[in-house]
Amino acid sequence: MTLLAARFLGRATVAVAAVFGGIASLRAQTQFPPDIARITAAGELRIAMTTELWPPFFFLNKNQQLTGIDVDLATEAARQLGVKVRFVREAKTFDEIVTMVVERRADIAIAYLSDTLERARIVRFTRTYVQVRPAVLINRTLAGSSRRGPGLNPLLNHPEARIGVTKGSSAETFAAADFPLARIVSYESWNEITRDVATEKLLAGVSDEIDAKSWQTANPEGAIEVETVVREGPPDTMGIAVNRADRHLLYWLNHFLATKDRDGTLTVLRRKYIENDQWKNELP
Amino acid sequence: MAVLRLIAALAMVSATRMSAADIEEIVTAKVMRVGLPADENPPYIMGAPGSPLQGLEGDLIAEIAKRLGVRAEFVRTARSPKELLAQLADSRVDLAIGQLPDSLEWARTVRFTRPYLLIREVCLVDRLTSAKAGGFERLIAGASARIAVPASSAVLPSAREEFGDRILVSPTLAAAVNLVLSRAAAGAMVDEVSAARWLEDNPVAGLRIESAMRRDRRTGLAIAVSWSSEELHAWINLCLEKCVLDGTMNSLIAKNLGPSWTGRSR
Repeated sequence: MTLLAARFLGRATVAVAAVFGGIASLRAQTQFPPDIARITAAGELRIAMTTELWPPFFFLNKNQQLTGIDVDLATEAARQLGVKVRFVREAKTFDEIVTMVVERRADIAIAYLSDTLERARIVRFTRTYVQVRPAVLINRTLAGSSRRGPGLNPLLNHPEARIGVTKGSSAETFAAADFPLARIVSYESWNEITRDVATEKLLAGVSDEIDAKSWQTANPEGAIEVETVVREGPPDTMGIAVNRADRHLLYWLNHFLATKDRDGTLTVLRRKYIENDQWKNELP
Repeated sequence: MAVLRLIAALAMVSATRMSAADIEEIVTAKVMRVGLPADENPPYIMGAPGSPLQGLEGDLIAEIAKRLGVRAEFVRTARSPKELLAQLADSRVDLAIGQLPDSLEWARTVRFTRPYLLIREVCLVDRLTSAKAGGFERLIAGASARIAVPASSAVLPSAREEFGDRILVSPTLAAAVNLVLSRAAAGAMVDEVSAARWLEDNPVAGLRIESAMRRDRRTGLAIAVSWSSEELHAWINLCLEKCVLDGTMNSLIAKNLGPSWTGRSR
C-alpha cells in the first residue's frame, strides 16, 4: 500500500468513525427512537384508509364525523403518543392502503385491514385486534336452478359459478384459493357486489360476517332472494400495518393493544361495534 | 473504489453487530448492569446498596442473570423512575427494574418486557366519608376531589391519566394516608400489594381506612430495556415466559409476597 493510499484510507476510516460516532451521540441525545420522534415532530399520526367507508370499522355518523372501531382505536393511539390523529382516506383498495404505509404517505394503517401473509411480506403487522368469520351471500334462485346439490363447495367451486369479491381485498385471495374452478369477478365496492347478487348477475359474493350483516340490516326484504352463509374455517384477522423500518413503533402499538386488552377497552369496543348493533344508532 | 468497499464493509459489520450486539456484549463481559431505585422498597427490593439484594425484584434479576450465565451488577442511584429510564437512555445500565409500570407514555422511549407482576389498583378512603358519599367511587368522582398518590407508586402514571391535576403527589404512602385522614384528599391511590402491607403494619389506622379494590384497573410491573435492545428484550421475554411455565415465577412471588399473590404474572 502506498503512503498516499494509506493516508487516504486513514482519513476514510476517521470519516466512517465520525459518522458512526455521530450516530451514537445522536442516539444518546435523542429522547425518542427515530420512528416515534418523526411522529412527535410532525405532531400528528397519519392513518391510511380507503376512500370507501366500511362500517362498523370506519363510517360517517349523524354529524358526518368519521367514527367506528378503527377510528376510536387510532384516536386513542394518537392521544397516547401525544399527537393529533389525521385520517388519510386516499386508497382505492385495501392493498393500496398497504402501499401508502410502504411509501410513507401514512404512518400506520388501521382500516379493516386483514393481516394476510402476502401483505406481511412488505409491511409489519401488530397482533390481531379483531377477527371476523368469512361469509358468503348467495342468490337463492341461481343456487336452486344450478342443481349442484347441498353444500357450499359443490355449489361455488364450479366453472359456471360467478363469485364477486372486492378488488384488492383479502376476500379476493381467499375466494381464488377456496374456489379455484369458479369465475372470480373483482368489483370496486361491496355495494356493487350485493346489488349483482340480488339481481342474479352473480351467484355469490364473498366477504365476512360484518359485511354480510351490514347488508342484511340495510336490506331485510333481501333475505327472500339472498341467503347469508357464515362459513366454518379460520377467521379473517385484522391487524395494524406499520412500515417495516418502524420497529419501535411496531413494539409500541403491540404494547398499546396489549394494554387496551388488559384494561378492557378492546372488549368494550368489540362489544359496541362487532358483537352487536349498538353502533347503528350513530348512523345518519 | 477500495475506500467505498471499506466503508460498505464497515457499515455491514456495524449493522450485523447491531442486530445482536446488546445481548452479545453482556454475555462477552459476563456482566449485566441493572438499574435499580436507590432506596429499599419491600417486598420488591430489600438490602442496602452494596449488600446482597433480596426481595421479588432482586430474586428475579438473580434468576435472569443465572439463566443468561452472567453476573448482575447493580446500579442503585436512581431517585425516581424517570432517572432509571434516563440511565437506560445513556447506556449506563442494560436493563432497569424497580416497580416500573409499563405505561404507554414511557414505552415511547424504552421497551418494556411482559409484566412479571400484574397488580390491581386500590383506593384507600376514610370509611365514614365514603359511607356518607354513597361509596368510594362517588367520593373520588367529584370534580373537586383530590387524590393522593405516593411518589414512588407504580399506579402514579395511570392515576395521572385518570385524575389529571386532581392528583396530590405525596412522598410516602403514610403521608398519602394522612392526607386522607385529614380530609385534604378524598382517597389515596396505591397498588394492592402496598395497601395490604400498610394495613398489616397499621391495624389501628386500618379501622378508619377502607381499602376499596378497583377490579378493572390493573397495572403491569415490567423490566425496561433501551429501545434499541431488541434482542435483549426478546430474550428476557422468553426467559420470563419460561419462568412462568416452569413455576419459578410463582415460587418467587410466594416467597416474597406470600402464597395468596401467586398467579399474577399473566
